[in-house]
Amino acid sequence: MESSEPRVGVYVCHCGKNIAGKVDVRRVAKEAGRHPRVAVSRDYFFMCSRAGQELIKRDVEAGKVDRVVVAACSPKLHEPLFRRVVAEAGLNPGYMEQVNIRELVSWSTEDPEEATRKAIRYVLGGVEKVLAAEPIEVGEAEVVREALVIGGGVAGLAAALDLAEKGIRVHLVERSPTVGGLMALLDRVFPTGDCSLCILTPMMAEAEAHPLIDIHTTSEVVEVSGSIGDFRVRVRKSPRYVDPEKCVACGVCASKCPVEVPNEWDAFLGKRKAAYIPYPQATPRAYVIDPNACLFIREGSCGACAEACPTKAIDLREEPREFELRVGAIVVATGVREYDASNLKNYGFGRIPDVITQLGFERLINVTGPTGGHLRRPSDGKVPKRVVFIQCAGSRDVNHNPYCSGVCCMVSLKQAEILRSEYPDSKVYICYIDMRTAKKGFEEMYERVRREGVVFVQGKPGEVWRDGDELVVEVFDKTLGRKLELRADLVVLAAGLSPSEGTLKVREVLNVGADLHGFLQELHPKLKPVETSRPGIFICGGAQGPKDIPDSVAQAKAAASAAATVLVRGRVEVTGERAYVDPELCVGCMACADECPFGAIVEREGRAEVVPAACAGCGICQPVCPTGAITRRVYGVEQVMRQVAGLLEAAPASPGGEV
Amino acid sequence: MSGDEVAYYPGCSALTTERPYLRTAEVVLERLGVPHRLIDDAPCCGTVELEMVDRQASRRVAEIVAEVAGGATLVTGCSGCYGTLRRGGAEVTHLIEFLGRRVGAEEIARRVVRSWPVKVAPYYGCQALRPREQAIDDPEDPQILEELMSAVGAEPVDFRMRVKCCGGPILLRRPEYAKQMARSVLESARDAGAECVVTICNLCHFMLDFYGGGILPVLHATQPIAYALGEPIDDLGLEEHFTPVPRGLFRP
Amino acid sequence: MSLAKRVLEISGQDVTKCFQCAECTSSCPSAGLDGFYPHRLIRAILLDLRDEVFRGDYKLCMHCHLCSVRCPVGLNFPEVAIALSNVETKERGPDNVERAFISELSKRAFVNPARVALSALGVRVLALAGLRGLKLAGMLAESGSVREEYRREVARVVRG
Ligand SMILES: Cc1cc2nc3c(=O)[nH]c(=O)nc-3n(C[C@H](O)[C@H](O)[C@H](O)COP(=O)(O)OP(=O)(O)OC[C@H]3O[C@@H](n4cnc5c(N)ncnc54)[C@H](O)[C@@H]3O)c2cc1C
Ligand code: SF4
Ligand code: SF4
Ligand code: SF4
Ligand code: SF4
Repeated sequence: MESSEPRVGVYVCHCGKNIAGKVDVRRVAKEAGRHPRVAVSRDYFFMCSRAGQELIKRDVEAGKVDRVVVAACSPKLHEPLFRRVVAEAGLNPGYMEQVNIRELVSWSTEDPEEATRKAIRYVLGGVEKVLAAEPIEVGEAEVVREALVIGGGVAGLAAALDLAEKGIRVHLVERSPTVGGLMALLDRVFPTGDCSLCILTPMMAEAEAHPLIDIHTTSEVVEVSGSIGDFRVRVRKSPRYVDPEKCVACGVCASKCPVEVPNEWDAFLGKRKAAYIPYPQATPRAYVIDPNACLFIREGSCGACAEACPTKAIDLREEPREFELRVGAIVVATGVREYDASNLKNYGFGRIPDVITQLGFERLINVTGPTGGHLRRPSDGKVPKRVVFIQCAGSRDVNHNPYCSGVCCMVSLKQAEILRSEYPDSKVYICYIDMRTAKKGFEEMYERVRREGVVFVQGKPGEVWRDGDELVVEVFDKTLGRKLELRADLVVLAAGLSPSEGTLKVREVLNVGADLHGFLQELHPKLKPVETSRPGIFICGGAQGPKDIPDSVAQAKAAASAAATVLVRGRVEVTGERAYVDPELCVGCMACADECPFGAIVEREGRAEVVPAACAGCGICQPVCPTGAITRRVYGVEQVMRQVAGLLEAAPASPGGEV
Repeated sequence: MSGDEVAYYPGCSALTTERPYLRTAEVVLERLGVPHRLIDDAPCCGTVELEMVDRQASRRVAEIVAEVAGGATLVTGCSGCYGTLRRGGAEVTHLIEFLGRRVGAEEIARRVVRSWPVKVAPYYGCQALRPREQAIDDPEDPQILEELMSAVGAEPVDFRMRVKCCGGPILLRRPEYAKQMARSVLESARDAGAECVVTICNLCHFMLDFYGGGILPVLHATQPIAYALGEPIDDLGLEEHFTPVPRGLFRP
Repeated sequence: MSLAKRVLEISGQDVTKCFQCAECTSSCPSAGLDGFYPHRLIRAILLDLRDEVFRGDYKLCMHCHLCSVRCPVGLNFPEVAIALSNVETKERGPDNVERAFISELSKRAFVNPARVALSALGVRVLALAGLRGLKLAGMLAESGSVREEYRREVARVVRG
């Protein structure tokens, strides 16, 4: 082998049994070693361990190899690590290629022989690719020391406050007219039973008053370009029609307003006017006008509120406006909503008024709710004496949400406890599949509620029907071994949690991953729980997955801390793994700029130019360029073609063949 | 309304105990101007019983029926046949789906010559709604029959048993229980204030009409539709029911 | 082969998915008849308890599919029942009711429900139906046209 030719080192990882349990790693290393350009080929238990890293470094430092292929897990996980390892050994990080033989091979292939052959092909593809590699430059860029928090529920508030306490300016963008999220609608919270608003309103007030926090309500993020350290964010603020600076929350507008609509803030159990305030503690504490209900906005008549307002706070002609923010990091806390129980036809929600959801129950016992905190059933206003809870009504069900919502067992326990203490005559049943009470203080609560006399029926009800003014819940009691027809005055469905509409929307705007159900996807389920596929964007709370308040807050603090790490350091490494334009080839058609989802390509002197900090490295630009001038480094045409050739040509020898 | 030809598969009970269903189904298609022919040379669908004995044989039957239908749209008014043929792989449309969705309730309302202002309990039974793959409407909260009944001027009432089983499938194994189920359908309709029940299946009709204890008259959905489209009362086959249908029901 | 596997092969229904929530049984109009409980049958299939599975109660399923549209894991119990019955017919032949039904089919290619009821239940129905039974009996004379091919098919099934 001539010394001027690149020499490749191949390192095959066992990943304990993860890879070696299926793939014959020895054989992979041996086969790779037969490639004429491969100078060294080894296998090792854990390439990512200290000792594994040393193996690579020693070979590079000794001059044995100057290109490295690591066949291991997904590059999503360890590519940065192995790039750093070769860089520390004095090699350009572009000369390291990580081949995924775990997720793509050992975990997803049944047959060991097939898996081994596949792994050999993948590795040889990697060898060819690294032989065509070009060096990548790594630079640094200045960070904008401000943060954006999207969503002002308890998670968003916790993240914003933490960031602000670290001295970072925070822009909090909230879709609805108030911060607070779902928690603001709850009466008490498990497992301690403390009053929800009493612990939340101080947070809301503190965020509002904090000099480093700007709250933008009735606002949504519509576009985000740029990348970690320097995001450009377009925000659209819908009109509130009431100036919160002038509004003294006297409520005169609402009293004059002739329009009444079902109140979404009361789970539709009560009514509100077109001019309304979501609840008395809403922050900002100002009224708002619903453009879909308001007569003036819809058809130009009325205007009673504006006339009556003593401080002239109302402007029914207010227009939406847009503005731009520049931030270094983004925390997404767009939360959850209760699953739409009207899909549960057999339980009659929407058809039978006294079948309500857990959120409806919260509103009916909450002093800010439609009944002033006195539990009254919707049909006839009577105090319900017998209440049946139906668990998993919409969760753990392939016809609805297949996952466990995680909170609703505890919510029913909480609500049962409230019922028993405030209405001691009440008879309470909870029909369940499994009671899930796995966290601190939860099992104790379960026991407490049993001792309160609440009856737990194991069995999922088939249906609920009306018999006169009673409800009947038909359920097979597994313990008793026969069907029961539970007579009830009120039925509460544990409908569970779905991603909020805003969570589903924000994902498109941010270009971050989501799981099957629409919850935002963390980069790694254990080790990168708040990071996303887009560096600089962090997730927390219900937006990431169904969870309760303590977990939402804990995760929010983690996300704030991860965001602060970027912002406090003040500089970010700008990776060279991005698009480059060859000015010789570029004809300035700017087709690439049209495709770029991140607005990273600008025109300069009749040629396209990539703004390094804005390029996310997605590579979408590469195939649209008519002259092949734009290349996403590491995935250049030459590299990819050679990788494919390596994959196809490498028909490995049969097992036991001479090596 | 014209278009593709309909090949109408009556289901064998419609040739014996349920003849008024076949007759009025044909009348309705006729009066709506739907070109159709009767399939009179294909076998019984075999029902679930044949599936229970031999799945393959049941598929074969469905194949034969589809062959006989040829290129025409295969339509049946019997939910039992509909389900068995669907599961057997035949492309088949339920008559009620054909009327409610292809022709459309508005179109029928437009052609109504006399209204039928009766409080009616639209009864679906099972096979037109379930399993999910063969549902002509929501499996638990359908509206299609309500729409058709409203189109002819009737007032549909909601009742608990509207999508429940008539008991037919276990008539031969547990006759007493099956009859009790049939009765409970009618009781629930009566308690909801209905003057009569309409069905969309040969077997459901047989069960409710024959075993329902005469609690309420039980009509085939096509009878009031035929009436509203102008068919004379005498031609609705009312006297062929086991439970007498008071003629007053058709004399508002 | 385990029962669960055979059921899977015949019907595509994988009973291992069941998490025993009993929503099927809660929904089932036949539940409790002769000890019939769909969720329990699923469990018995999983445990391969043949005697228990083939006690015969699964034939009380009315195929109303209230369970299958509600089952949270998407199991279709009536399809499971059909698979069980197919297995049983192969091993032991059709039961009385099925025989009455199938023989009507093979003789006439169509089924008169009243007539099958008569042959399966004997005079009981007639007596219950009272006078109306006479009207029924008159209908028994009715016949439909028969397709040869179909008759052969049914004959094959009946012979087993
Ligand atoms: C009935 C019920 C009872 C509960 N009881 C308890 C309990 O007792 N104890 C407990 O610990 N947990 C309880 N929970 C769970 C608790 O509500 C959640 O854990 C908590 O609300 C999650 O907080 P969050 O901030 O992540 O999301 P959310 O509270 O949903 O807040 C999200 C916020 O983001 C805003 N938003 C959404 N999309 C956008 C967007 N695109 N742009 C801008 N803003 C956006 C929303 O308007 C909202 O204000 C209960 C849940 C329910 C349904
Ligand atoms: S202008 Fe609109 S919000 Fe104001 S009072 Fe009239 S309807 Fe209500
Ligand atoms: S938390 Fe309980 S009620 Fe909610 S989905 Fe999970 S098991 Fe069902
Ligand atoms: S409903 Fe489905 S999951 Fe529940 S016990 Fe029945 S078969 Fe099993
Ligand atoms: S289909 Fe059978 S098992 Fe299922 S609910 Fe109906 S009768 Fe019961």
